Order: sequence, then C-alpha cells, then structure tokens
Amino acid sequence: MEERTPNVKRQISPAFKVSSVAILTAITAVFTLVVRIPIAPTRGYINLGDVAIYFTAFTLGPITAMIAGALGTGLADIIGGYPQWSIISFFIHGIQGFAVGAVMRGAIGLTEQQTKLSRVRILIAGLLGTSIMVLLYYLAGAAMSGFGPALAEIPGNIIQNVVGVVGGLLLTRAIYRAYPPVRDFYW
Amino acid sequence: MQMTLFQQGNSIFHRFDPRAKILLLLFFLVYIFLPFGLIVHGTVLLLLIIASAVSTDWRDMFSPIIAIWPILILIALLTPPFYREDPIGITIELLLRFTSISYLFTLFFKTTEMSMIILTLRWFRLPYNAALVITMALRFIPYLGGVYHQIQDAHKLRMGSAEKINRFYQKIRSLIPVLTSVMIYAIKTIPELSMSLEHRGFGIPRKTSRLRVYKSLKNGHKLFTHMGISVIIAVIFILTPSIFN
Repeated sequence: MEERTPNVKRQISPAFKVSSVAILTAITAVFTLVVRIPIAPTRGYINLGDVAIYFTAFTLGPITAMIAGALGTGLADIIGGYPQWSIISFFIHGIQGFAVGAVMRGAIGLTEQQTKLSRVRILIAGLLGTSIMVLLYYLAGAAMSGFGPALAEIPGNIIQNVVGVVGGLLLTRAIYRAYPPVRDFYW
Repeated sequence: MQMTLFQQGNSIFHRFDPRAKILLLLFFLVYIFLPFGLIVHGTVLLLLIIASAVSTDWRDMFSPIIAIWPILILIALLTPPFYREDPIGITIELLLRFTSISYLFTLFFKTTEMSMIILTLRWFRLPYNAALVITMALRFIPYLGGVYHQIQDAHKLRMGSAEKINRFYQKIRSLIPVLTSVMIYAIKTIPELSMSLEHRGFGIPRKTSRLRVYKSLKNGHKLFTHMGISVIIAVIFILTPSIFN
C-alpha cells in the first residue's frame, strides 16, 4: 500500500463519501439493534451503537461520525420499536459523533507509528462524548418523562459510553492491524 | 430482521397524504408539551389510542404501552418526590405526555411506509445525497444484520462444546472478534459500493430517474384536501382547551 504523508490533502470522491456514510450508518444501526444488554431502566437496554460511533469518529472523521451516529441510531430506534426516541437520538448522537471526531481530528496519524492514538485525546474525546450524551439525554428525558426517570437513566448511559469508548478503541486498533487500507478512509 | 414498524392496511391513516401526516405529527408533538391541562391531554391520548386501534389490528392497540411500561412505572414512582405542589397532577401529566408521544410516533410509522417517508422528506427539500444515504443504509441494515449472525454462528462453532460461553463477561468478551469481523466486512464494501455508484453515474450533473414520485397534478387535490383537514384538526385542538378553561 502506498504510504501517505501527513498534511497532504487527499481528494475523496463524493461517491466514496456517500458510500462510507451509508455503510457506517447501517453498521451503527446493526450494532444498536443486534446487541442489547438490559441494564438502563428507562430505555430498557444498553446497546453497542456507541462502539460504532466512537469507531467511526476515530477512523473516518467527525462528519461521517456525525451523520452515521445521527441516522444510524435514529433508524435503529424506529426499526427497534422505540420511535419516540428517534428524533432525540438523531440529534444527540449526531452531536456526540461530531464532537468526538473533532477532538480526535489530527490525532489519527498516517504511518504505523503515528497511528497510535494519543491517550490524552482519547480521554478528552471519551469524556466529551459521554458528557454530551449523558447531559442531553438527561435534558430530553426530563422534558419527556420528568426528572426522576431521567436521573435513573444516567448510570446506564455512562456504562454505554464507557463500553463505547473502550470498544471503539479496541475495534479501531484491531481493524488498523487487520485491514490497513482503512487509514485512507479518513476524511 | 424486521426492517420497519409499518403494517399494511387501508385505514384512513394509511390513505392520508404523508406530507400532511408529517406536519400533523409535528403539530401534535408541540401540542403535547403545551400546558393545556389533564382533561385535554387525556382526551388526546384517548384519541390516539382509538386511532391506533382503527389504523391497524385492534389487538395491537396497547403495544406502545407494553413497550414503555418500565418507564411508566419509573415516572409514577420517581416523579412525586421532585415536586412539592400537586405531585400527583404532574405525575399524571408526565404519564399522559410520554404515552401520547409513544402512540403518536408508533401511529405515524405503523401507517407510513419508509419509502414514502423518504419521498416526503425529499418533497420537503431533503438533499438528494441525504436521501441516498438513508436509502442505502436501509438496504444494508438487514444485510449486515444477517452477516453479524452468520459470523457469530461461525465463532460459536469454532469454540466447541467444552468452551461454551455461559458467563456474562465471557459473552461480552466473545463479542469483540465478532464485531471486528463484521466491521471489516462492512468497511471492505465501501470502495466497491462507491465504484458501483460512480459506474451508475453518481456525481454526473444530470437529472436522475425516480421509481416513486408525487404526481402533483393527479394528487394535487388530495394534498390540498388533506392539508386543509390537517389545518382544521390543528385549529380544533388549539381552540378546545379554551372550552375546558
């Protein structure tokens, strides 16, 4: 594979952008729908949708993470029988994906040595992503169902995000090793 | 994998124009949050339950409540300690609000095909690329869901009977190789999919064909009528609270 050099702006075709967003949207929805761990009391389950969102933010950048996170979780809520959460999930996971991707932007190196993700940035990205999701779900939940149930949702959301950050990081590292061309997918 | 909540039917809600329906959905979404009192919100919920029964199988009438009963119990238990004035009234209001929102969305998605929703969003000026992404994602969700189950089964077979996973953490651990395989499989399809799109002329500045369109001349009167009905419904609901107060 041709080794890329940093700070060289690459041309990514519109078809590639559309395809990557569509596939990562589908993956986010599948991870949200297929793996459900019944912990969070109000949403009924925690899911691995956040693993897909963090992976997308780490690997494909903030724009892909924003759209895939928003659409993937929104569609999963519609398909999975929780349509009342779809609009909320759309906005919250979109903001979360963009924020995590924006923090990680530039931290994704281009050579094998550089691809080792900065631990500080990962920590900041994880904290930011978790704060955004927990806070916004709390506010949305409070508006829809009151402060009590919204508070009860917080532990589940924190667990889901911690699983998302750790899982997303493990997945990113595993895929960088198993399929190196993925480094060229960042835009 | 079931891909949609949509249930085939011929009710008035199925036949109602999706463009008017989406505006009514937004109207009621705002309406449910307005402080009109318990009687008005209770009436709205009752109407939504009746609409749910009329639109699809009456046995599915309470399916939204079955899906959300844990949160309803939480609202009932956890809301009163947060309010000193009229805790019971506020609890009932929140219960009505959340149940109404659930019914509203379920009714909309049960009576509107996903393709019609995308077509409607296009009519409301959703960009072509965004509609394309949603359509392709909907095409790939069941496919990648199937791939996930195939890979999971393959991993289970490799583990053998002696290493059957029973514990919770082992189950979580066993997910990582499955998720990695699924992700690589999905990622690898991106270049192929983008090449397919390019070969089909994506990005070329020309008018594309459409499988389904809103025929403005044929359905013009229908849209006008349904929009008119929607406005009348909205006006009735806005004026109703003043009768009770």
